[in-house]
Amino acid sequence: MVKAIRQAGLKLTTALLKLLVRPARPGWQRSTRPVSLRGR
Amino acid sequence: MVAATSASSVVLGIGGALGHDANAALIVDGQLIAASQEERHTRLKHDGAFPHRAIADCLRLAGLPASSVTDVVFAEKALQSHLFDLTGRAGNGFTRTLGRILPEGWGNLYGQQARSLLPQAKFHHAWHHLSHVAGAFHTSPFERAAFLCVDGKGEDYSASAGIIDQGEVKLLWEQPYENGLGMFYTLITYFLGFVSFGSEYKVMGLAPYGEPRHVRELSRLFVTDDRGGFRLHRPIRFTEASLLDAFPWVAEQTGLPMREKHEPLGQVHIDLAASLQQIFEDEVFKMARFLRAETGAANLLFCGGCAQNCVAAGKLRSRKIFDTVFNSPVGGDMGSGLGAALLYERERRGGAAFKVEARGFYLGGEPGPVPADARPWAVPFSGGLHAFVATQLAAGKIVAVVRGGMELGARALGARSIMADPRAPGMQSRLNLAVKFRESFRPFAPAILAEHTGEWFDSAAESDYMNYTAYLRPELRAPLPAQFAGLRERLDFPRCSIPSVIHVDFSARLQTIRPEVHPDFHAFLTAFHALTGVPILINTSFNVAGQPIVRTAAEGWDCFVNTDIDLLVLNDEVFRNPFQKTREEKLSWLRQFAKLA
Repeated sequence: MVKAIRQAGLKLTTALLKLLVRPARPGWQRSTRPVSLRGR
Repeated sequence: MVAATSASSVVLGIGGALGHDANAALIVDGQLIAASQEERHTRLKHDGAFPHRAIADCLRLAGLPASSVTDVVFAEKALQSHLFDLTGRAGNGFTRTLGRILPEGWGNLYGQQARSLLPQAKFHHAWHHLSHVAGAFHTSPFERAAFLCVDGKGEDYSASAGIIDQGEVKLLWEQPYENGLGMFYTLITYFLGFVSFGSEYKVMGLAPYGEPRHVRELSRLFVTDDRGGFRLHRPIRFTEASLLDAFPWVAEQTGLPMREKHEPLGQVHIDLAASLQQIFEDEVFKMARFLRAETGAANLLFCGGCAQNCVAAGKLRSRKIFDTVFNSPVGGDMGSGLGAALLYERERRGGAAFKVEARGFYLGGEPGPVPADARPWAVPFSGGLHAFVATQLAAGKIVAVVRGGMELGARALGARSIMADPRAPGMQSRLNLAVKFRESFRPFAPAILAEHTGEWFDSAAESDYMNYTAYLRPELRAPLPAQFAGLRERLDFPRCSIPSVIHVDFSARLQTIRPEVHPDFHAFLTAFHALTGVPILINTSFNVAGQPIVRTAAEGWDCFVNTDIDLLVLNDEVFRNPFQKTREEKLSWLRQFAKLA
């Protein structure tokens, strides 16, 4: 039961994440990655 | 040795949490003290388990307890990696925001063990590629340089590029997803039957035997552009299962045959290796040209796992796309902990420019005492160790050396090396088959006195860490027949006076030896040069196929008696091989490491 709930939760989370994270185009993209280690 | 009470900043970098090549590095009050790889302690090649032993080794060399560590920096952001695994999509602003809210180490493979070992330390997580970049930059001669980092997989990207100016890092571009150029090389390496992790260098060594006849077929697998923007048409994960699953797709798209692990190498496989290497080089050159145009920088740091391809690195340097190229010897994952620690150190100094003394990357522990088993086989000598060893080498003996601090990185640089005379006929086959137990086509690297490099090779530029190839000068080459009957004949053809270290295309993976970087190895080479007039020795790692490089004197002795190496230097003493073991006993010993491709 717990396992089933966990799997359903994971599927839901994945689906939500996929809505918010669009597929990227191939090739070089401008980076938005913050380089600082601190503050997070 | 550092006094525990005096250290205010003890930074431990830990790499390998992506699942392979676990390693650690220690920086104490801004000074690089030690770095170590877990595989050298556990004897499991590319070991990805939490690097307990490597950490202990670093702390021992610093003379500090684990409780003195103030900061731990991981060379990967586990949360970002898991988000990518979950969605199969590269991160964006949203996932970066999650990284500010949630713990960045969520799901860190090493998290629990690190917390119990170092409960008092603050934990930090660095982007994987920036760890590579920092490792390269702070040990390079540059104040300002563009960087190009290409590997199999960062958290959710396969290549990144930017510029470092003094202390400021500008990450400008990246290629999302893991099915990039590095993954392509790994996929075809596996397709060619080299299915042990980290076997790409074997394909690189095989490539010169073939012709790039299959570039067009391989090109059906990916899309690329004139900036080296590269992606495989099929999503492939950095797992063995995913790579194996892709074989039918590769075969169908290219019409080329897969090779089984123990199947003999056919011409089609060799040509496939040559084609792969050509595509790889072309893509790297396109990336470099793009970066040069974007940044205008004169210097390039080439790092990441793909930068370990020393053939591409050598050609990148000779093409002069950038004025100077620095290919870090620890730019791959085995040095990621060092890079992560340096990245933290850079921020601790408020982004100020600094360099660390890499000490030739001899950053590991000493060999320890000579084992009692070796004692009866000690060889008395006079006139100095280096001169004696040179005499033996000149007489055709194979000599292994275990002396001083252990090298960090994939290559033995003279402290855990096997040395031999490159002039000796058949030495390449002898070393490959009777000593290293590996494929006969694999070339060996020449270590050459730096001041004589220009007399033998087309480039006199430094290659301190065996990280570039150069080509034998044309006047030193023997004329080749128009055609060879096969790989064996091509391999055995006497193509010059030092055939064991010159590949069939006259290339060589150089290690140039300077006294300020490699003092001990320089002394061996100087003695050999004085005796023979040749300033070159074979330098290959002291291990056998499937085994990590030996670390201690005891491991050195164990490896020695199970191979056909003639002499062993342990610390300041020399031992002869008892040759007491039968061939079957040696093979039985070898099997514990063997995962031979």
